[in-house]
Amino acid sequence: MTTINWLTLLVREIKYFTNFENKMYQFLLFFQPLMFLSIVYFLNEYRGDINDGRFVIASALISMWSYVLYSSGSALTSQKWSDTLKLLLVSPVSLSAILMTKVISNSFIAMFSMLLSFIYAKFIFNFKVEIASYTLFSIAILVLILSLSVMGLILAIVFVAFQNVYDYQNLILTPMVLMCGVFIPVEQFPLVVKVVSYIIPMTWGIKSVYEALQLSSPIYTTMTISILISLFYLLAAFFIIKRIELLLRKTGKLGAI
Amino acid sequence: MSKIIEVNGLSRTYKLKEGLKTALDNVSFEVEKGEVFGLLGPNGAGKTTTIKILTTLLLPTSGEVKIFGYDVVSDSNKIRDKINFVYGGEKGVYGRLTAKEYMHYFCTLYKIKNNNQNDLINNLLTLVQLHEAENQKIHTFSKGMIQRLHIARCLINNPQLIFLDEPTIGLDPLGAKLLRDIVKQLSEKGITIILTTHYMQEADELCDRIAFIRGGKITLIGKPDYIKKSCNNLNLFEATLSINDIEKLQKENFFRNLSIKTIKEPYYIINFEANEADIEFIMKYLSNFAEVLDIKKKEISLEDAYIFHMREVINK
Ligand SMILES: Nc1ncnc2c1ncn2[C@@H]1O[C@H](COP(=O)(O)OP(=O)(O)OP(=O)(O)O)[C@@H](O)[C@H]1O
Ligand SMILES: [Mg+2]
Repeated sequence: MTTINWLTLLVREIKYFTNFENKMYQFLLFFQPLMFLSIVYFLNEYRGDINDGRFVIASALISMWSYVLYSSGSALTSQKWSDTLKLLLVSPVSLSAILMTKVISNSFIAMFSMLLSFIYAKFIFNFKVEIASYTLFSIAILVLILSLSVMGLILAIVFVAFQNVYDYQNLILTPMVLMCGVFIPVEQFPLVVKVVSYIIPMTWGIKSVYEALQLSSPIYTTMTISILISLFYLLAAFFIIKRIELLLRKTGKLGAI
Repeated sequence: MSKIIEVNGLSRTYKLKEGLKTALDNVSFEVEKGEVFGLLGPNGAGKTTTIKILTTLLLPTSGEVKIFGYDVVSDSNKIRDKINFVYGGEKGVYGRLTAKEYMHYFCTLYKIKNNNQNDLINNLLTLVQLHEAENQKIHTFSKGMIQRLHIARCLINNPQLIFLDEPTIGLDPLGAKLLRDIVKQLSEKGITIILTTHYMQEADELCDRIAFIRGGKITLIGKPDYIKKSCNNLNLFEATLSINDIEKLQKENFFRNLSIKTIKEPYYIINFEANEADIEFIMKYLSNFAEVLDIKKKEISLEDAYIFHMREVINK
C-alpha cells in the first residue's frame, strides 16, 4: 500500500464516516467542554484558586477521550454489525491499515473539542490560558493524537475480542480520565496505580500537553517516551489484528449473525 | 479449458455449545473458466459455507481448495485480487453514504487511482442502472437498488471470478430480471460466476452447470439437462378430467403427490406422479374413475427434478 493511497483513504474516512449528526457525538464534542468549563468557572468564583489553563485542557481532554472511546471503540464491531467487515477483509488494504485510518480520523476530529475548549474559555468565560510556546504545544498535541489513536486501536480490538466488555464501556470512561492524570498528576498516585498509569499510552500524551503548556523541563523526554510507548502498542496491535483476522476465518464469526 | 476452482475433499465443521456441527462433508467439484455454476440446496445445506471458504473468508477444516491454482489457506492474498462477491440481503452497505461515496471508498480500498475513479464509478453505476441515484443516501435505497449497488461494488477490481449468494432474494420480478440480465452480461464477458439461489427457474436460465447440495454433501452435479434427465424414473402427468367422485381418486395410491385444481365441477385439472411411464396405460387406469378429456406427460423442469432428487436423498 502506497502512502498516497493510504492518505486518500484517511481523507475519505474523515469525509465520509465522521458522524456529526450523532447526538451523542455532538454532545461530547461541542457541549461537554462547555459544561465542564462552566463547572470550573463557578468553582473558581467560589474558591478562587483554580489554575485556569490546566482545567481548560482537562475539560478538552475529557471530551477527546470520551469521543475516542465511543467512536474508535466501535470501529471494528460496527463493521461486524453492518456486515461490511468481510468486504474490508478481502480488500487489498490490510485490516490494520484500514483501522489506522479510522482511529486517526477519530483522534483528529476529537481535536475539535480542544480547539472549542480554548475558544469557549477565552470568549465565554474569560479564562487566562497562557501557552508559552505555540510550536511546542502543537507538537505536544500531535503526540497526544498519536497516543489517542493507539488507545482507539486497542479499544477497537478489546471490544471486538470480548463482546461483553462492550456493555461496560461507560464504566471505563471516568476511571481512565483519573488514571491518566487529567486532574491529578500521576506522580501523586500510590505506586501500584502509578505503574498501571504509566503503561497507558494516553498518560504520556496528556503529560506532554501539560508540560508543553508550562514549558516544564522534561517535556522532550516525556514526548519521546509517549511516542515510543505508542509505537510499541501500535506494533502489538498490528500483530493482534493479524491474529484476530485468522481467528475470524477459523470460527466464521465475521458478520452480525 | 482451464480449471478456475478445484475443490477436493472439503469439509467444514462449526463449534457450537452443543458440540460440533458439520456444515460441509467431503465435498469435491471443479469449475471451468467462464462457467456459470449454480449451487442449489435447501436451507442449511452448506451453500454459504462453501462460498465463504472459496472467497477466503472462512478456513476449511480439512480438504483442499484451489482458486486460480492458489490455495485458499496459504495464498489468500493472491486470490483476493482476482475475485469478488455479493451476499443477498440489505446488509454490507454504509447507509449514511451516497452510492457514489460508497463506490469511491471501495475504489480507494482497491487502490484505483484517484483520476480513474470517477470514470469507473460512472460506468459501473450505469451498468447496474443506478446512475440517477448516485447522489442518494444508501439508507433510502430499496432492496433491489442495494443489490445492484453491491454488483457495482463487486466489479471495482475487475474480478475474473464472482460469487453471488442469493443475489435475487427479496427482489420484485423486474428487479430480479434486471439482475439476471447483468449476470448474463458478465458471463458473456468471460467472467466465471458461482451462484446460489432458491429459485429453480433462475438457476435453469443462468447456469451452465449445477450442483445439488444437501446436508453438506454434493448429491448430484451436471448440466441442467443432465440433471433433468437423471430423473428418468420420474413420470409427471397432467390431466383434465370430468369426474363425479374426486375423493375416490384422492384415496388411490396409484397417483402420487396428487394436486387437484377445480375448474368448475365436475371439471378438474390434476397433476400427479406415477410409477408407470406409458401414457396409454395411465389413461386407461384413469378412465376407471373419470372421463379423461385431456392428458399429457409433463416435461420435467429443474424444480421438478430438485424436488424429486431431494426427496430421494432423504429416503436413502
Ligand atoms: N457461524 C456459524 N456457526 C455455527 N454454525 C453455522 C455457522 N454458519 C453456518 N452454520 C451451520 O452450518 C450449516 C450450513 O449453513 P450455510 O449457511 O452454509 O447454509 P446455506 O446452504 O447457505 O443455507 P441457506 O439456504 O439458508 O442460506 C447450517 O446447519 C448452519 O446452521
Ligand atoms: Mg446461505
